[in-house]
Amino acid sequence: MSSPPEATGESADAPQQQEEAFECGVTPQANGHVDDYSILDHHREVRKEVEVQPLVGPVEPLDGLENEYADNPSFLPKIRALKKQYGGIRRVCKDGCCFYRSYLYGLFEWLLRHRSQIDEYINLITESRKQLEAAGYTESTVDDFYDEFLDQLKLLRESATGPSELETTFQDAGVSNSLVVYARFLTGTHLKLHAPEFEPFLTTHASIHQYVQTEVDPMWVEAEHVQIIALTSVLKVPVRIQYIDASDTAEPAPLTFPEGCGADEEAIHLLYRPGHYDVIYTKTTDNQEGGKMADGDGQQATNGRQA
Amino acid sequence: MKFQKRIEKEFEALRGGTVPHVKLDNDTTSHAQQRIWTVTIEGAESTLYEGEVFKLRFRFPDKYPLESPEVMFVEKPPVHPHIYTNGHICLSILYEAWSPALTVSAVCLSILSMLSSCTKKEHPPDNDKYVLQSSTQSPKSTSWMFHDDRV
Repeated sequence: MSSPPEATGESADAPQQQEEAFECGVTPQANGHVDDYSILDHHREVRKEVEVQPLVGPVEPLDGLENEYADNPSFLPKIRALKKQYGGIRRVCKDGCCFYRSYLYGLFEWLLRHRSQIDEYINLITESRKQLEAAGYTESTVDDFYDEFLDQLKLLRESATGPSELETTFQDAGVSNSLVVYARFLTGTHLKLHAPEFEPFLTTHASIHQYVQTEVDPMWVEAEHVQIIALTSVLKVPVRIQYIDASDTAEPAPLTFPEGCGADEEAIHLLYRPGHYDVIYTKTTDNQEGGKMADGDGQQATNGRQA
Repeated sequence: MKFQKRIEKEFEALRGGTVPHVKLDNDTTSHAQQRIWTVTIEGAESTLYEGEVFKLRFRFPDKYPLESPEVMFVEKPPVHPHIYTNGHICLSILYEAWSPALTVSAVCLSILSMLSSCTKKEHPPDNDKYVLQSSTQSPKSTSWMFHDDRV
Protein backbone atom coordinates (compact mmCIF):
# COMPACT_ATOMS: atom_id res chain seq x y z
CA MET A 1 0.00 0.00 0.00
CA SER A 2 0.93 3.60 -0.03
CA SER A 3 3.53 4.64 2.46
CA PRO A 4 3.47 5.21 5.30
CA PRO A 5 0.17 3.54 6.27
CA GLU A 6 -0.95 6.53 8.35
CA ALA A 7 -0.65 8.75 5.31
CA THR A 8 -3.12 6.94 3.11
CA GLY A 9 -5.83 9.46 3.72
CA GLU A 10 -8.23 6.98 5.16
CA SER A 11 -9.96 9.57 7.23
CA ALA A 12 -12.41 6.95 8.49
CA ASP A 13 -9.58 5.69 10.66
CA ALA A 14 -9.19 8.97 12.49
CA PRO A 15 -11.51 8.20 15.43
CA GLN A 16 -9.45 5.13 16.20
CA GLN A 17 -6.35 7.28 16.62
CA GLN A 18 -8.15 9.54 19.04
CA GLU A 19 -8.72 6.63 21.38
CA GLU A 20 -4.99 6.30 22.04
CA ALA A 21 -3.94 6.92 25.59
CA PHE A 22 -1.49 9.63 24.63
CA GLU A 23 -2.35 12.74 22.76
CA CYS A 24 0.99 12.82 21.16
CA GLY A 25 4.04 10.68 20.76
CA VAL A 26 4.53 6.98 20.30
CA THR A 27 2.05 4.41 21.50
CA PRO A 28 3.56 2.56 24.43
CA GLN A 29 3.77 -1.21 24.21
CA ALA A 30 2.63 -1.48 27.82
CA ASN A 31 -0.71 -0.14 26.72
CA GLY A 32 -1.45 -3.34 24.85
CA HIS A 33 -0.68 -2.00 21.39
CA VAL A 34 1.89 -3.16 18.90
CA ASP A 35 5.13 -1.36 19.59
CA ASP A 36 5.37 1.57 17.22
CA TYR A 37 9.06 1.10 16.74
CA SER A 38 8.43 -2.26 15.09
CA ILE A 39 5.64 -0.73 12.99
CA LEU A 40 8.19 1.83 11.95
CA ASP A 41 10.51 -0.88 10.67
CA HIS A 42 7.63 -2.23 8.64
CA HIS A 43 6.98 1.25 7.22
CA ARG A 44 10.60 1.45 6.15
CA GLU A 45 10.28 -1.87 4.36
CA VAL A 46 7.13 -0.73 2.58
CA ARG A 47 8.80 2.56 1.72
CA LYS A 48 11.80 0.73 0.23
CA GLU A 49 9.44 -1.33 -1.88
CA VAL A 50 7.67 1.79 -3.12
CA GLU A 51 10.98 3.46 -3.86
CA VAL A 52 12.11 0.70 -6.22
CA GLN A 53 8.80 0.70 -8.09
CA PRO A 54 9.00 3.09 -11.08
CA LEU A 55 6.66 6.08 -10.80
CA VAL A 56 5.02 4.87 -14.01
CA GLY A 57 5.64 1.58 -15.76
CA PRO A 58 5.34 0.49 -19.41
CA VAL A 59 2.03 -0.64 -20.93
CA GLU A 60 1.51 -4.31 -20.12
CA PRO A 61 -1.16 -6.74 -21.24
CA LEU A 62 -3.98 -7.38 -18.75
CA ASP A 63 -2.93 -11.02 -18.44
CA GLY A 64 -0.58 -10.02 -15.64
CA LEU A 65 -3.50 -8.64 -13.70
CA GLU A 66 -5.40 -11.87 -14.22
CA ASN A 67 -2.45 -13.87 -12.89
CA GLU A 68 -2.16 -11.55 -9.90
CA TYR A 69 -5.71 -12.45 -8.85
CA ALA A 70 -5.61 -16.09 -9.96
CA ASP A 71 -6.54 -17.25 -6.44
CA ASN A 72 -9.18 -14.62 -5.89
CA PRO A 73 -12.56 -15.75 -7.23
CA SER A 74 -14.26 -12.46 -6.42
CA PHE A 75 -11.90 -10.33 -8.54
CA LEU A 76 -11.35 -12.73 -11.42
CA PRO A 77 -14.67 -12.42 -13.27
CA LYS A 78 -14.36 -8.63 -13.22
CA ILE A 79 -10.86 -8.74 -14.63
CA ARG A 80 -12.03 -11.10 -17.39
CA ALA A 81 -14.90 -8.74 -18.17
CA LEU A 82 -12.40 -5.88 -18.24
CA LYS A 83 -10.24 -7.74 -20.76
CA LYS A 84 -13.06 -7.65 -23.31
CA GLN A 85 -12.91 -3.87 -23.43
CA TYR A 86 -9.33 -3.08 -22.41
CA GLY A 87 -6.03 -4.22 -23.90
CA GLY A 88 -3.39 -2.73 -21.63
CA ILE A 89 -2.49 -1.45 -18.19
CA ARG A 90 0.19 1.03 -17.18
CA ARG A 91 1.03 0.50 -13.54
CA VAL A 92 1.57 3.61 -11.45
CA CYS A 93 3.53 3.77 -8.19
CA LYS A 94 1.55 3.09 -5.02
CA ASP A 95 2.77 6.17 -3.20
CA GLY A 96 -0.51 7.92 -2.42
CA CYS A 97 -0.25 10.05 -5.58
CA CYS A 98 -1.53 7.35 -7.93
CA PHE A 99 -4.77 9.10 -8.91
CA TYR A 100 -3.04 12.38 -9.70
CA ARG A 101 -0.15 10.73 -11.54
CA SER A 102 -2.41 8.38 -13.52
CA TYR A 103 -4.77 11.17 -14.51
CA LEU A 104 -1.92 13.47 -15.52
CA TYR A 105 -0.30 10.72 -17.57
CA GLY A 106 -3.61 10.14 -19.29
CA LEU A 107 -4.01 13.89 -19.82
CA PHE A 108 -0.59 14.25 -21.45
CA GLU A 109 -1.33 11.28 -23.72
CA TRP A 110 -4.72 12.80 -24.53
CA LEU A 111 -2.99 16.07 -25.48
CA LEU A 112 -0.63 14.17 -27.77
CA ARG A 113 -3.70 12.87 -29.57
CA HIS A 114 -5.33 16.33 -29.60
CA ARG A 115 -2.35 18.51 -30.37
CA SER A 116 -4.50 21.41 -31.49
CA GLN A 117 -5.68 21.80 -27.90
CA ILE A 118 -2.25 22.09 -26.28
CA ASP A 119 -2.29 25.88 -26.58
CA GLU A 120 -5.64 25.99 -24.85
CA TYR A 121 -4.15 24.01 -21.97
CA ILE A 122 -1.16 26.30 -21.77
CA ASN A 123 -3.63 29.18 -21.39
CA LEU A 124 -5.64 27.27 -18.83
CA ILE A 125 -2.57 26.64 -16.68
CA THR A 126 -1.34 30.22 -17.12
CA GLU A 127 -4.71 31.52 -15.97
CA SER A 128 -4.86 29.08 -13.06
CA ARG A 129 -1.98 30.81 -11.29
CA LYS A 130 -4.14 33.79 -10.29
CA GLN A 131 -6.78 31.38 -8.99
CA LEU A 132 -4.19 29.63 -6.85
CA GLU A 133 -3.20 32.94 -5.31
CA ALA A 134 -6.86 33.78 -4.71
CA ALA A 135 -7.16 30.45 -2.86
CA GLY A 136 -4.25 31.34 -0.59
CA TYR A 137 -1.33 29.48 -2.19
CA THR A 138 1.57 31.91 -1.93
CA GLU A 139 3.68 32.83 -4.92
CA SER A 140 6.89 31.44 -3.44
CA THR A 141 5.37 28.00 -2.90
CA VAL A 142 3.63 27.82 -6.28
CA ASP A 143 6.30 29.10 -8.68
CA ASP A 144 8.53 26.04 -9.14
CA PHE A 145 5.59 23.72 -9.75
CA TYR A 146 3.76 26.14 -12.02
CA ASP A 147 6.92 26.63 -14.11
CA GLU A 148 7.44 22.88 -14.40
CA PHE A 149 3.85 22.20 -15.47
CA LEU A 150 4.02 24.91 -18.11
CA ASP A 151 7.45 23.78 -19.32
CA GLN A 152 6.20 20.24 -19.78
CA LEU A 153 3.18 21.42 -21.79
CA LYS A 154 5.50 23.49 -23.98
CA LEU A 155 7.70 20.43 -24.57
CA LEU A 156 4.57 18.63 -25.80
CA ARG A 157 3.75 21.54 -28.10
CA GLU A 158 7.25 21.63 -29.52
CA SER A 159 7.14 17.86 -30.02
CA ALA A 160 10.20 17.55 -27.79
CA THR A 161 8.09 15.16 -25.72
CA GLY A 162 6.36 12.51 -27.81
CA PRO A 163 4.57 9.34 -26.71
CA SER A 164 7.83 7.48 -26.19
CA GLU A 165 9.44 10.26 -24.11
CA LEU A 166 6.41 10.66 -21.87
CA GLU A 167 7.25 7.57 -19.86
CA THR A 168 10.75 8.87 -19.13
CA THR A 169 9.34 12.29 -18.20
CA PHE A 170 6.93 10.76 -15.70
CA GLN A 171 9.63 8.50 -14.27
CA ASP A 172 11.81 11.51 -13.42
CA ALA A 173 10.83 12.08 -9.78
CA GLY A 174 11.55 15.81 -9.83
CA VAL A 175 9.34 16.42 -12.86
CA SER A 176 6.70 13.82 -12.11
CA ASN A 177 6.20 14.92 -8.50
CA SER A 178 6.15 18.60 -9.46
CA LEU A 179 3.30 17.89 -11.86
CA VAL A 180 1.49 16.04 -9.07
CA VAL A 181 2.01 18.96 -6.66
CA TYR A 182 0.56 21.41 -9.16
CA ALA A 183 -2.42 19.11 -9.74
CA ARG A 184 -2.91 18.98 -5.96
CA PHE A 185 -2.82 22.79 -5.79
CA LEU A 186 -5.33 23.02 -8.66
CA THR A 187 -7.57 20.57 -6.81
CA GLY A 188 -7.25 22.45 -3.52
CA THR A 189 -7.92 25.75 -5.28
CA HIS A 190 -11.09 24.48 -6.93
CA LEU A 191 -12.34 23.08 -3.63
CA LYS A 192 -11.61 26.29 -1.71
CA LEU A 193 -13.12 28.57 -4.36
CA HIS A 194 -16.24 26.37 -4.57
CA ALA A 195 -16.46 25.58 -0.86
CA PRO A 196 -20.27 25.86 -0.56
CA GLU A 197 -20.70 23.14 -3.21
CA PHE A 198 -18.38 20.70 -1.45
CA GLU A 199 -18.80 21.46 2.25
CA PRO A 200 -22.05 19.45 2.61
CA PHE A 201 -20.13 16.29 1.65
CA LEU A 202 -17.50 16.56 4.37
CA THR A 203 -17.83 14.02 7.15
CA THR A 204 -14.72 14.20 9.30
CA HIS A 205 -13.44 17.70 8.56
CA ALA A 206 -14.80 20.97 9.92
CA SER A 207 -14.23 22.98 6.74
CA ILE A 208 -13.04 22.74 3.16
CA HIS A 209 -9.97 24.69 4.18
CA GLN A 210 -9.08 22.04 6.76
CA TYR A 211 -9.91 19.26 4.31
CA VAL A 212 -7.55 20.68 1.70
CA GLN A 213 -4.83 21.18 4.30
CA THR A 214 -4.91 17.55 5.44
CA GLU A 215 -6.21 15.58 2.43
CA VAL A 216 -5.13 17.47 -0.70
CA ASP A 217 -1.98 19.53 -0.08
CA PRO A 218 0.16 16.86 1.64
CA MET A 219 2.08 14.93 -0.95
CA TRP A 220 1.37 11.27 -0.12
CA VAL A 221 -2.34 11.37 0.72
CA GLU A 222 -4.64 9.49 -1.66
CA ALA A 223 -7.40 11.22 -3.57
CA GLU A 224 -11.06 10.58 -2.84
CA HIS A 225 -14.04 11.30 -5.10
CA VAL A 226 -14.13 14.92 -3.98
CA GLN A 227 -10.61 15.50 -5.33
CA ILE A 228 -11.42 13.64 -8.55
CA ILE A 229 -14.49 15.80 -9.14
CA ALA A 230 -12.49 18.96 -8.43
CA LEU A 231 -9.47 18.15 -10.60
CA THR A 232 -11.50 16.97 -13.58
CA SER A 233 -13.63 20.11 -13.31
CA VAL A 234 -10.46 22.18 -13.68
CA LEU A 235 -8.62 20.16 -16.32
CA LYS A 236 -11.82 19.23 -18.15
CA VAL A 237 -10.72 16.00 -19.84
CA PRO A 238 -13.15 13.39 -18.48
CA VAL A 239 -11.93 10.32 -16.66
CA ARG A 240 -13.69 6.96 -16.77
CA ILE A 241 -12.82 4.83 -13.77
CA GLN A 242 -13.43 1.08 -13.75
CA TYR A 243 -13.86 -0.06 -10.15
CA ILE A 244 -13.09 -3.64 -9.25
CA ASP A 245 -13.21 -5.03 -5.74
CA ALA A 246 -14.05 -8.17 -3.77
CA SER A 247 -17.82 -7.76 -4.14
CA ASP A 248 -19.68 -10.60 -5.83
CA THR A 249 -20.59 -8.73 -9.01
CA ALA A 250 -19.30 -10.11 -12.30
CA GLU A 251 -18.62 -6.78 -14.01
CA PRO A 252 -16.45 -3.81 -13.03
CA ALA A 253 -18.41 -0.73 -11.97
CA PRO A 254 -17.61 2.24 -14.19
CA LEU A 255 -17.95 5.89 -13.13
CA THR A 256 -17.19 8.93 -15.25
CA PHE A 257 -16.08 12.34 -13.93
CA PRO A 258 -17.08 15.10 -14.25
CA GLU A 259 -20.59 13.71 -13.98
CA GLY A 260 -22.85 14.31 -16.93
CA CYS A 261 -20.16 14.43 -19.60
CA GLY A 262 -21.05 12.63 -22.80
CA ALA A 263 -20.33 8.90 -22.91
CA ASP A 264 -18.92 9.36 -26.41
CA GLU A 265 -16.41 11.95 -25.27
CA GLU A 266 -12.88 10.57 -25.35
CA ALA A 267 -11.94 9.98 -21.74
CA ILE A 268 -8.86 8.98 -19.82
CA HIS A 269 -9.40 5.45 -18.52
CA LEU A 270 -8.27 4.37 -15.08
CA LEU A 271 -8.57 1.13 -13.18
CA TYR A 272 -9.34 1.33 -9.47
CA ARG A 273 -8.61 -1.51 -7.14
CA PRO A 274 -9.18 -0.81 -3.42
CA GLY A 275 -6.59 1.82 -2.51
CA HIS A 276 -5.00 2.20 -5.92
CA TYR A 277 -5.32 3.63 -9.44
CA ASP A 278 -3.54 2.61 -12.67
CA VAL A 279 -3.96 3.79 -16.27
CA ILE A 280 -5.76 1.37 -18.59
CA TYR A 281 -6.13 1.41 -22.36
CA THR A 282 -9.22 0.44 -24.32
CA LYS A 283 -8.73 -1.85 -27.26
CA THR A 284 -9.91 0.94 -29.57
CA THR A 285 -7.34 3.32 -28.12
CA ASP A 286 -4.71 0.68 -28.65
CA ASN A 287 -5.72 0.39 -32.29
CA GLN A 288 -5.73 4.13 -32.80
CA GLU A 289 -2.44 4.27 -31.02
CA GLY A 290 -0.67 1.56 -32.98
CA GLY A 291 2.38 3.75 -33.41
CA LYS A 292 2.41 4.73 -29.78
CA MET A 293 2.23 1.19 -28.51
CA ALA A 294 5.04 0.18 -30.84
CA ASP A 295 7.13 3.08 -29.56
CA GLY A 296 6.41 2.02 -26.01
CA ASP A 297 7.49 -1.53 -26.73
CA GLY A 298 10.66 -0.31 -28.36
CA GLN A 299 11.54 1.78 -25.38
CA GLN A 300 10.76 -1.06 -23.07
CA ALA A 301 13.23 -3.26 -24.90
CA THR A 302 16.02 -0.67 -24.80
CA ASN A 303 15.47 -0.14 -21.08
CA GLY A 304 15.66 -3.87 -20.55
CA ARG A 305 12.47 -3.84 -18.51
CA GLN A 306 10.06 -6.74 -18.50
CA ALA A 307 6.32 -6.38 -18.53
CA MET B 1 19.04 21.29 -5.61
CA LYS B 2 16.10 21.59 -7.95
CA PHE B 3 14.19 24.05 -5.82
CA GLN B 4 16.97 26.46 -4.96
CA LYS B 5 14.88 29.43 -6.10
CA ARG B 6 12.21 28.54 -3.60
CA ILE B 7 14.71 28.25 -0.74
CA GLU B 8 16.18 31.63 -1.61
CA LYS B 9 12.74 33.26 -1.56
CA GLU B 10 11.97 31.75 1.80
CA PHE B 11 15.33 32.88 3.07
CA GLU B 12 14.75 36.47 1.95
CA ALA B 13 11.29 36.49 3.52
CA LEU B 14 12.72 35.41 6.87
CA ARG B 15 15.73 37.70 6.70
CA GLY B 16 13.41 40.61 5.98
CA GLY B 17 12.05 40.08 9.48
CA THR B 18 8.45 40.25 8.30
CA VAL B 19 7.29 37.33 10.43
CA PRO B 20 6.58 38.44 14.01
CA HIS B 21 8.51 36.56 16.74
CA VAL B 22 10.53 34.66 14.12
CA LYS B 23 14.04 35.47 12.90
CA LEU B 24 17.04 33.80 11.35
CA ASP B 25 19.86 33.18 13.79
CA ASN B 26 23.03 35.17 13.20
CA ASP B 27 25.07 32.19 12.04
CA THR B 28 22.56 31.53 9.25
CA THR B 29 21.97 35.00 7.91
CA SER B 30 24.54 35.06 5.15
CA HIS B 31 24.00 31.63 3.64
CA ALA B 32 20.78 31.00 1.72
CA GLN B 33 22.43 27.97 0.14
CA GLN B 34 23.26 26.19 3.35
CA ARG B 35 21.15 23.19 4.11
CA ILE B 36 20.89 23.84 7.84
CA TRP B 37 19.28 26.97 9.21
CA THR B 38 18.86 28.02 12.80
CA VAL B 39 15.75 30.06 13.43
CA THR B 40 14.92 31.72 16.74
CA ILE B 41 11.35 32.06 17.90
CA GLU B 42 10.14 34.12 20.81
CA GLY B 43 7.16 33.19 22.98
CA ALA B 44 4.22 35.53 22.32
CA GLU B 45 2.90 38.08 24.79
CA SER B 46 0.32 36.93 27.33
CA THR B 47 1.25 33.25 26.91
CA LEU B 48 3.13 30.86 29.18
CA TYR B 49 6.24 31.39 27.06
CA GLU B 50 6.22 35.19 26.91
CA GLY B 51 9.74 36.54 26.49
CA GLU B 52 11.39 33.08 26.23
CA VAL B 53 13.58 32.57 23.19
CA PHE B 54 14.04 29.15 21.58
CA LYS B 55 16.20 27.88 18.74
CA LEU B 56 14.83 25.68 15.97
CA ARG B 57 17.10 23.80 13.60
CA PHE B 58 15.83 23.26 10.05
CA ARG B 59 17.65 20.71 7.93
CA PHE B 60 16.56 20.65 4.28
CA PRO B 61 16.60 17.31 2.44
CA ASP B 62 17.47 17.15 -1.27
CA LYS B 63 13.80 16.73 -2.06
CA TYR B 64 12.60 19.79 -0.14
CA PRO B 65 9.88 21.04 -0.52
CA LEU B 66 8.46 17.75 -1.80
CA GLU B 67 9.68 16.32 1.48
CA SER B 68 9.47 18.07 4.81
CA PRO B 69 12.46 19.75 6.40
CA GLU B 70 13.74 18.08 9.56
CA VAL B 71 12.76 20.47 12.34
CA MET B 72 13.74 20.24 15.99
CA PHE B 73 14.55 22.43 18.94
CA VAL B 74 18.23 22.74 19.83
CA GLU B 75 19.83 23.84 23.08
CA LYS B 76 16.97 24.22 25.57
CA PRO B 77 13.60 23.09 24.16
CA PRO B 78 10.40 24.59 25.60
CA VAL B 79 8.67 22.56 28.30
CA HIS B 80 5.51 21.56 26.43
CA PRO B 81 3.34 18.41 26.27
CA HIS B 82 4.13 17.96 22.55
CA ILE B 83 7.84 18.73 22.72
CA TYR B 84 10.30 16.10 23.91
CA THR B 85 13.35 17.00 25.97
CA ASN B 86 15.61 15.91 23.09
CA GLY B 87 14.08 18.67 20.94
CA HIS B 88 11.75 16.47 18.86
CA ILE B 89 8.36 18.04 18.15
CA CYS B 90 5.11 16.15 17.76
CA LEU B 91 3.39 18.21 15.09
CA SER B 92 1.79 16.50 12.09
CA ILE B 93 2.80 19.11 9.50
CA LEU B 94 6.46 18.25 10.16
CA TYR B 95 5.85 14.67 9.12
CA GLU B 96 3.00 13.00 7.23
CA ALA B 97 0.87 16.16 6.93
CA TRP B 98 3.76 18.16 5.44
CA SER B 99 2.78 19.85 2.21
CA PRO B 100 4.86 21.69 -0.41
CA ALA B 101 2.38 24.53 0.16
CA LEU B 102 4.01 25.09 3.57
CA THR B 103 7.12 27.17 4.21
CA VAL B 104 9.68 27.70 6.98
CA SER B 105 7.64 30.72 8.12
CA ALA B 106 4.41 28.71 8.17
CA VAL B 107 6.11 25.98 10.23
CA CYS B 108 7.44 28.53 12.74
CA LEU B 109 3.99 30.10 13.06
CA SER B 110 2.43 26.67 13.70
CA ILE B 111 5.00 25.95 16.40
CA LEU B 112 4.39 29.38 17.96
CA SER B 113 0.66 28.73 17.86
CA MET B 114 1.24 25.39 19.56
CA LEU B 115 3.17 27.16 22.32
CA SER B 116 0.60 29.93 22.64
CA SER B 117 -2.32 27.54 23.14
CA CYS B 118 -0.52 25.62 25.91
CA THR B 119 -2.20 25.83 29.30
CA LYS B 120 0.32 23.90 31.40
CA LYS B 121 4.06 23.59 31.00
CA GLU B 122 4.81 19.87 31.23
CA HIS B 123 6.78 17.24 29.36
CA PRO B 124 5.01 14.66 27.16
CA PRO B 125 3.82 11.75 29.33
CA ASP B 126 6.04 9.27 27.46
CA ASN B 127 9.06 11.57 27.33
CA ASP B 128 11.57 9.29 29.08
CA LYS B 129 10.78 6.22 27.00
CA TYR B 130 10.79 8.18 23.77
CA VAL B 131 14.01 10.06 24.43
CA LEU B 132 15.79 6.87 25.44
CA GLN B 133 14.89 5.16 22.18
CA SER B 134 15.13 7.99 19.70
CA SER B 135 17.68 10.50 20.89
CA THR B 136 20.22 9.74 18.19
CA GLN B 137 17.67 9.56 15.40
CA SER B 138 16.06 12.18 13.24
CA PRO B 139 12.55 13.06 14.45
CA LYS B 140 11.43 12.18 10.93
CA SER B 141 12.25 8.51 11.67
CA THR B 142 9.64 8.35 14.41
CA SER B 143 6.21 6.93 13.76
CA TRP B 144 4.09 9.62 15.37
CA MET B 145 0.54 9.37 16.59
CA PHE B 146 -1.20 12.71 16.24
CA HIS B 147 -4.18 13.94 18.08
CA ASP B 148 -5.38 17.51 17.93
CA ASP B 149 -2.39 19.46 16.79
CA ARG B 150 -3.45 20.35 13.27
CA VAL B 151 -2.92 24.01 13.85
